[in-house]
Amino acid sequence: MIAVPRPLVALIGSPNTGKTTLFNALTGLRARTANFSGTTVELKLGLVELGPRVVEVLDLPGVYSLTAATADEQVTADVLAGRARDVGRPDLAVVLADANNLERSLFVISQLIERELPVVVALNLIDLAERHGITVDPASLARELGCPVIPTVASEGRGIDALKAAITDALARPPAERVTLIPPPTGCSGCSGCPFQARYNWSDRVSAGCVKAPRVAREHKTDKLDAVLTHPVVGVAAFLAVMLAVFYLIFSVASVPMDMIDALFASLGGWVAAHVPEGDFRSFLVDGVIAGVGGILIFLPQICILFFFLALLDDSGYLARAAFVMDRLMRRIGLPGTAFVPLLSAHACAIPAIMSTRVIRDPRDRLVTILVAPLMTCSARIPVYAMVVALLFPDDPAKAALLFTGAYGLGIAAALTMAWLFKKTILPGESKPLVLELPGYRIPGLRTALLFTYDRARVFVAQAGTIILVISIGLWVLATFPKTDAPPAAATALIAQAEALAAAGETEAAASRHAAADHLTARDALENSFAGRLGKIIEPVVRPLGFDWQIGVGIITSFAAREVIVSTLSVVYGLGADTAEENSESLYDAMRRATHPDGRPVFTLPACLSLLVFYVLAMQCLPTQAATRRETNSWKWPLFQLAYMTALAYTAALVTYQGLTAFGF
Amino acid sequence: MIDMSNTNHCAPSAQPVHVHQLAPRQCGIVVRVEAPDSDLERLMAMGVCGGRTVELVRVGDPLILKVYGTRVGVSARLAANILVTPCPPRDCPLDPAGATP
Repeated sequence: MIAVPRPLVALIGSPNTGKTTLFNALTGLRARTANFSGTTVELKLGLVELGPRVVEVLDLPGVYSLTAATADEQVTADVLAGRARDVGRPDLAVVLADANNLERSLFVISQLIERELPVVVALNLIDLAERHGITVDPASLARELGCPVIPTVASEGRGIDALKAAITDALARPPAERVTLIPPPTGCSGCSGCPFQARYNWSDRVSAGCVKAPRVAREHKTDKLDAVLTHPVVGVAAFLAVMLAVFYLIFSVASVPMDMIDALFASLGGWVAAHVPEGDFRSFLVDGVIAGVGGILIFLPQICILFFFLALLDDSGYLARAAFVMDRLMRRIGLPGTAFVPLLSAHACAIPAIMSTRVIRDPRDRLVTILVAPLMTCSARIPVYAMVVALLFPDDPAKAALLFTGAYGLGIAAALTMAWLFKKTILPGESKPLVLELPGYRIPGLRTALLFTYDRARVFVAQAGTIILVISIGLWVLATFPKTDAPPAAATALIAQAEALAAAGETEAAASRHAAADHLTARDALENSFAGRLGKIIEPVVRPLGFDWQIGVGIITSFAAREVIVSTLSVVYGLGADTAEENSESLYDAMRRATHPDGRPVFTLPACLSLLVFYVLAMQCLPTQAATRRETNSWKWPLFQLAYMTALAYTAALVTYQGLTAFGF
Repeated sequence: MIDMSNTNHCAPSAQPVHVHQLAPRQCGIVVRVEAPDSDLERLMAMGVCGGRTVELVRVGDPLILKVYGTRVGVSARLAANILVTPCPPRDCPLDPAGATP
């Protein structure tokens, strides 16, 4: 059988015309997402069956014009000219028109028709237009444009079949000839706005011929809502209330699936442990692969919930208002208002935050936002904060709350300062002035939001997951090899005691001796492993921060996921990994008893605060690095992020420890 | 020259001003966009270009302009480059209060 190349249909439209909804209505779940090579612009391809034949639909970024002024427009222009490396030249373009705002839509449509490419116009959102008393005559519009015009309501699937039929017809016709709708304006030297004016004059004339609209206000409701939601003070308060509600939902709802994923992987590990003979292979499966995959999937509930709500807020038209009201405040650190939602989202998890920076138009502003987002306190830091707070103030809720708040505040202050600093130094330049469409409010589409969430989750698992899994396995190797041949003498003695007790019928006492022996063995094995040796090697480096080699090991094993430090400390202080979860008090007791070789206690106030500061500011999260790699399309930025955050964390922890010690704490 | 095919026009009555100098909810007809850079070209592509009627919906920085059926949030710095002929107060086809029957 000869493989016939599938025809390629490009989907084009301005933002807020329902392009994504139309793409989903055409392709459903059969879509894949990648980046255009060498860019961070997303490429979405899906398959559509048109009777017997299958065509490929390419969802191009939403653009207001085809002039190649932004990265999105550049990619669109390249694809239409057949210059894109990832896809061929489209055989047909489907372009969206907003029936409520035809004059504006015709601008980009006219630019498109003037390229030698067959065009089908989808006249979308006609339901909304009808409600506003606006009628557009598709037949006369088709006559003016010289191409088919199909009325659609993408969100309800109305007109999709007719659109598919029009695509089939247009593909069967011979290639289009170049047409000129708007002759280049003459006699307007020194006025570079002329082409825009000429095109809009044409657009007004065409619209006047096929649109019947009442000469009254179209969007009274949007005006009334905007009076409140774009208000410089009330609008900011309203936005904070909305985000507070979203966060409440994230933290209250996500814990259920997160616990389920945790339990699922624990039981999967248990099942493997029961069916695979003991040895390195079992350890590889349980502690390397299953723990690694579990460590990736545990983030999914938060990622999904956050993206779901962001999609709903975006689709409702609200998110643009949030960016609008935050713009003035964000300018002070040199970032645009659109950077606020990602930075706020980073308080749940930096991964969706970094993935949602695509709304930031300027590449430098976007990069700065990506670089500083992981400084915000994400939910994975909470176990570490909880440990330090419990160590320091076990019986003082007021001081504990103060310390927690301080840790959050430190993260925010560090992120804003670093953003300001990056804008002053390595990524200089004034941030892009605001030009942001505020679309009319509408009821958000559930299906669009769900598909968007599904797509983001898939991108995260497929593209970040692979990198994370490889490094998780690498860390497992570090913590497992070289092997310790025999259990330490103390453990052997405990086992002997346990056997004697078991023989005497004291099973409970025997079991506790066995457990203690296992903990000693595990501690010994970790101490002798590469990770343990590395911990000792870096001890001179972390000693000025008030840390001992055990904490050094914890920093190494928690490189991929910061919360791992709690269970590592539990192992290195001889309590076994399970203790950290099941009986945290005994871990804290063991930590309070821990001493340096000269007998000084390890977890003094300066050392605890130094550890806290270190974990507020250090990268220590591989999935975030993978997200940065994907969103910047380079290894340079995740490495830079790791370097600057580690340096910042080290310096701040050093200042904290040495300062507090000097003041006699 | 102002193109009169634009259906949303008013009877311009005064000397041109920059769009941020309009009163709240006052309309103006864009005379020209001065020194257009890529940000201003984006605005022009959205419809804020010569001959179009715009309404200042919210004053401040950033401000909100209404053009055709949509609102656009614009930083005041950019708005200072948009020259408009103000419409008389209450004679604004985009404003419900001043809509002429």
